[in-house]
Amino acid sequence: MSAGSASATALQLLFAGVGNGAIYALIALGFNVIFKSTGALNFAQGEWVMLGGMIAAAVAAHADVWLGCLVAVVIVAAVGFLSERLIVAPLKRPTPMLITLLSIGLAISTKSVVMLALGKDPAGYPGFSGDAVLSIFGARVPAQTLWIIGITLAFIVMAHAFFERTILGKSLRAVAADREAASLVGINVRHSVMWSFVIGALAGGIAGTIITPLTFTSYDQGGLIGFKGFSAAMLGGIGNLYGALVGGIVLGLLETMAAGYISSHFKDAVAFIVLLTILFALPSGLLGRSEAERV
Amino acid sequence: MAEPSDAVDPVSGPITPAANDERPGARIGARPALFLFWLALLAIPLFGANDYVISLGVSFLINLILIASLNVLIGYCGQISLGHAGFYGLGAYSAGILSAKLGVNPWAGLPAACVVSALAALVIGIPALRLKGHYLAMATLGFNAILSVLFDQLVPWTGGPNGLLGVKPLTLGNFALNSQARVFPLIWLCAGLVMLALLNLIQSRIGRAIRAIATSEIAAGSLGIDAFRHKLIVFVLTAGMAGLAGSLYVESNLYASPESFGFSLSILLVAMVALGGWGRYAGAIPGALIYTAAPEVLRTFQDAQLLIFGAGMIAVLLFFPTGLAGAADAVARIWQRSRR
Amino acid sequence: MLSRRTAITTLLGAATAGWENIRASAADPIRVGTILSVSGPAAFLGQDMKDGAQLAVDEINDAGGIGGRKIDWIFYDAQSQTQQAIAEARRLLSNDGVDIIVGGGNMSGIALAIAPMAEAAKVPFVSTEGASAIVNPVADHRWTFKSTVDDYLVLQRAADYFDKKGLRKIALLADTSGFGQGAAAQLKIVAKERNLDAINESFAPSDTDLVPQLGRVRDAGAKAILCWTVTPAGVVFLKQAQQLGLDEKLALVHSYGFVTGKYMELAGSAAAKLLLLSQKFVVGDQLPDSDPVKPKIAVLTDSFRRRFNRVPNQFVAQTYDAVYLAKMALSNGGSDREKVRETLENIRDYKCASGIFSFSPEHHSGLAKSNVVLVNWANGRFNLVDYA
Repeated sequence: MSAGSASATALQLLFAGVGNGAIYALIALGFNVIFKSTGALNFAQGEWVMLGGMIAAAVAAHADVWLGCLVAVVIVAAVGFLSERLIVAPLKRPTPMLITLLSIGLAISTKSVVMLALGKDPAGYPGFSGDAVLSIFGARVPAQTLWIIGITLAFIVMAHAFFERTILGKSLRAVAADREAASLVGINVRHSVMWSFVIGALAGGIAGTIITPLTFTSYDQGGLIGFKGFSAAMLGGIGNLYGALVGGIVLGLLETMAAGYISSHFKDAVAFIVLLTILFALPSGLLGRSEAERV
Repeated sequence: MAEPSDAVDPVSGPITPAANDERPGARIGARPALFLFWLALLAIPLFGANDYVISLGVSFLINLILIASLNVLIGYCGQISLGHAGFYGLGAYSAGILSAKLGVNPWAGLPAACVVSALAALVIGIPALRLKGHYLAMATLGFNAILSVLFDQLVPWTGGPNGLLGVKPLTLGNFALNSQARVFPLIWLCAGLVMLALLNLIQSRIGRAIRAIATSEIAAGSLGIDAFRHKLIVFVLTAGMAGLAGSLYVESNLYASPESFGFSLSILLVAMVALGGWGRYAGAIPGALIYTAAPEVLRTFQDAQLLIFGAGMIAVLLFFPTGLAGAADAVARIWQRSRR
Repeated sequence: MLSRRTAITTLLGAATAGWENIRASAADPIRVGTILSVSGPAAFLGQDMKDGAQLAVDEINDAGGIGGRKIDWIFYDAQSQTQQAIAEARRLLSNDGVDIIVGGGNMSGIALAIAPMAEAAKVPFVSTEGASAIVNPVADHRWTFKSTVDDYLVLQRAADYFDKKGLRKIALLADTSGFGQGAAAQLKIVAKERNLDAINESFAPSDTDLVPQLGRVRDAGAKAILCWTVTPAGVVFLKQAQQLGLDEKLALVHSYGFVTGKYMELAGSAAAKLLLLSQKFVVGDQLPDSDPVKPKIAVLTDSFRRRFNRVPNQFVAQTYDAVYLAKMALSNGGSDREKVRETLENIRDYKCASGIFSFSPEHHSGLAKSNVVLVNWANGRFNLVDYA
């Protein structure tokens, strides 16, 4: 046993937790963007993550890993666009409830198309730096974990710039704040919803491509990870961009620490218990404004 | 002719049921229709060729309890619960454990299951129902996920992932209800009582109150309706019904396993409510029918089953947002109009 | 005078007797029912198992059937869900009137649920799943048989290997499924018998991060890790063990549920030092010539290749053999279920591709410890490492 192993273990768990958390953050972000523009819970979010990983694996089997990830992200973003065209655009009355339910049908369909097209076998590919592992103060961290953290941060920064600086981003925020006012100033609301789906799918696709080297994926992995992403979104405050980041990281850390120090048997339950506690004690989430209606 | 009201802003407003001002059963008396339909169901055990066919009937009735109760919660109350399968499982395991592990008379399991699920709903409902729609959805989803882990991990009680074995069948003296044919009458009776109770609920003062709440909580509040209390009542009642369904399930299968009560089932149940037509009393019937029959009908398509189900769901929701019951209503209206 | 109780019972019985219509099994074909999971999480071995059974059924029918009667093979997909499987078992037993059921959903949990149904219906059931609880206690499982090795025996075999290498302190990393927890329960017994210091860690089948568990195992000073799962989490185990440098210091062993090239390829370099407990099938050509199973493996490999255009694995052999076991029993008993059951119970030393089968009234698990070997993965295939 190495000296200072307690702190090395803690550091080990820290890196694992932040790595997992970054993925939850990306999923939560995608989820939040769509929620803000439609009010709906997008159940297909997790399937988009799975799709990203599966497509990347299919391409990476014949080409470079980077190319595989790039192709996968582009395709998933396109799928997001098509999904919106299919389940939102035709609706005369796009109520949140209806879109939520349609997203369930979409999730089921996406999952089955992947099963039919890409098979039932688990899939994976090497990380961006192969299988390299770094030793950081006694903790053995896969290079891929650092890639994950880096890419997630980069994406959050770009998302921030997008929403703050670009016309399109600002128009999305306007629609999210007040649809009628936004349409009064000439913003095409339907258009914004389309873009929110593309961004949501993009976030999901990226998450899938960067996590698969570590976790592998298969056609039925979408549901659980999507759900954890929702939880992260709630934890951070639904609809809040930074809430997604904070919620994701916190959830990832909580899970890993609970498994490391309490029990790995009830790992999933611990994460959800904390979630329920937050919902009841602080429903707007860690960073959210109080949106909860006290009746 | 005016469409049933969707008075609130459709995009950012709360969940609105499709038929706020419809009086259930205004055209044909609902109670007689229910009674007739229920009598017709007796054809299943009388003419069903074998135990397997009757078991489909049993499944249909149990699914009907689940979907009808969820329908009232979502459709009339405007609250999405994604934990209905959790209450179902809680009921199943409560009844199952009482019989298999504690040797209690299985008959006690039925009311016990209702009570346990109702209590759990009370615990979750009190904090969660004070919040807006989607918070309840997430809270119930989380609750369901926790229950799944508990069902899986509390091995000495639940049997863990291999499931709960050794549940004793219900008995009437020396006559054991240990086949599908024998247990059918009981389930038929219970499901019938549940449907009747739900009908009474939505036609009562409480029912009118919850429909008002679903349209606009603020408006209802200004009329003196205590939204929170009413929502809680419905939430607890429907959870109790799901618990009852669970006990019936475990007594007809003499088995329960954790994967039957996961949040994916909760999600699927919501989908069935939508397909049938939420906010319409009769909507639960096509919903339960599809849910029970789809695996049978789609059996030959094997791998494509899931795709057909998902694509079909999208198609129905796109073309019939008020579900199949709503579509039937629309057809009936058109037909009536053309007769004048 | 009739007591009230008897009167009620008789009345109820009479009322429902008309409702209890079980279709009598038809005269000519022999009906064999199979439930396997070809979709859902257990799908990756379900398809192979289905094809193995298919091959056996077709071979038997091409050769004229059983006693001149063709096999009517009824297959249902359990979709890795016990509830589905129960409904299908009910269908097989009452709607389709099968003479025997072969295959229990390729999940121990499903087989455990089907067994009592077969017992109640008095229909023989040959399970192809792993948990020993499926056929124990034998007194309650007269009609249920298991064509696989008991996890208890597989663990004993592992203990043999650990003895050889002088490894005393071992960790079991099992998933929380029926398969994993079955092994956990048996290991407690085996550890006591073989004087091993065993640590028990677990993870969820869908888990993608095992670092906490691996950290604890390393800190406890284990010398070997036995991983027991059939899900991709087992690949995560290998990669993270490599990440933590454990593959250099500890012996890593996977269970027989993990013996598939797909997982080995996914694991890449992390599978280099791995050992696996396995049936002899995957290293058939490397067995000593004296092994009676060797020629059977060769024959099956050949016929499967010709029919399905791919190399078979041990899952194929499992169901293939199970169908042939059924055939043997049906040849003797036909539609007389009690006779079929008895025949199954008295099969001795029946040499098949997955091993040598022996049943007895006290022992309804067909394969013995000697059918298990240790293999590794190198040069794109499995290789025999420890024969006996």
